[in-house]
Amino acid sequence: MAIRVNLDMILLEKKMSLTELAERVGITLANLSILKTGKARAVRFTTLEALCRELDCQPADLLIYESDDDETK
Amino acid sequence: MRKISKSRSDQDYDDFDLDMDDIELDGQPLRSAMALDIFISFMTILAWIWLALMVVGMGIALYLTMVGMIPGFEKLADIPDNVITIWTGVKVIGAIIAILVLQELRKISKTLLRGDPFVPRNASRLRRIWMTVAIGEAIRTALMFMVMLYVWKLDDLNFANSWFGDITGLNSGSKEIPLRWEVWSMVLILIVLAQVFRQGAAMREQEKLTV
Repeated sequence: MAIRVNLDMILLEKKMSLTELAERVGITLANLSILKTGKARAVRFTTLEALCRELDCQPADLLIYESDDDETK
Repeated sequence: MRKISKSRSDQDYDDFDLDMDDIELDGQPLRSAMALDIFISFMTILAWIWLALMVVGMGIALYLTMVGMIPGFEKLADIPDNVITIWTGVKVIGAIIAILVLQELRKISKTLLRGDPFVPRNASRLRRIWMTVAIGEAIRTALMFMVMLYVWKLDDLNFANSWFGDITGLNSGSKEIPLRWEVWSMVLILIVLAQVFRQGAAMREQEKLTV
């Protein structure tokens, strides 16, 4: 999939653990790791909103588009 | 990542490297699910007892055919041996089908207890159920048709006043093919429901991967 979720980097910057974020955002750790590992098919706007609120960032900071050519490199 | 897009293009939702059954669920099982599970377990035990009895019955029928009369079974003497054998065989097949279907139902019931029945595995279980019923009914129809042909050939054979004619339904006397429309309509309903369920399970799958 060409859309990647840049959760790792932001969490590192904010010095926040995945568990802590899950608690703050109010979604399960299982769902959050689905998002982090790129297995998610879709993201709800409510989830995106909560993530941006807790991480104090923009949706553009979270989502990264990579063309498929880059992926095969 | 690539794995997912590949399996998605195959339309095979069971092939995710991520096991759908392992995802944490917020679904709560219905309270009646437990009662249903117990009932299905009870029916499974009954089906096994039924199968054991029918196997014994078929054994007796085979003995009567191959060896000879067993004391106490003289009542069966006026009925052709192979008719009894085939008829008990039909009963054995019926019991086996009941057990196979109940086993699938138990597995479905387990997912109900877990609170999330809309998994692709249940869709294939439903498909297996209607296939089992359809194949079993086809075999039954073929075997009963053999019995009918045999009975029709023998003009002097009269089931009209026999207890055997009563329990096999041969007493009606009319020459009709032993098709049971109620069973075939049930198979049709099961096919439609299995298809609907497959679509539903696929939708739930998408929903599970929505964060």
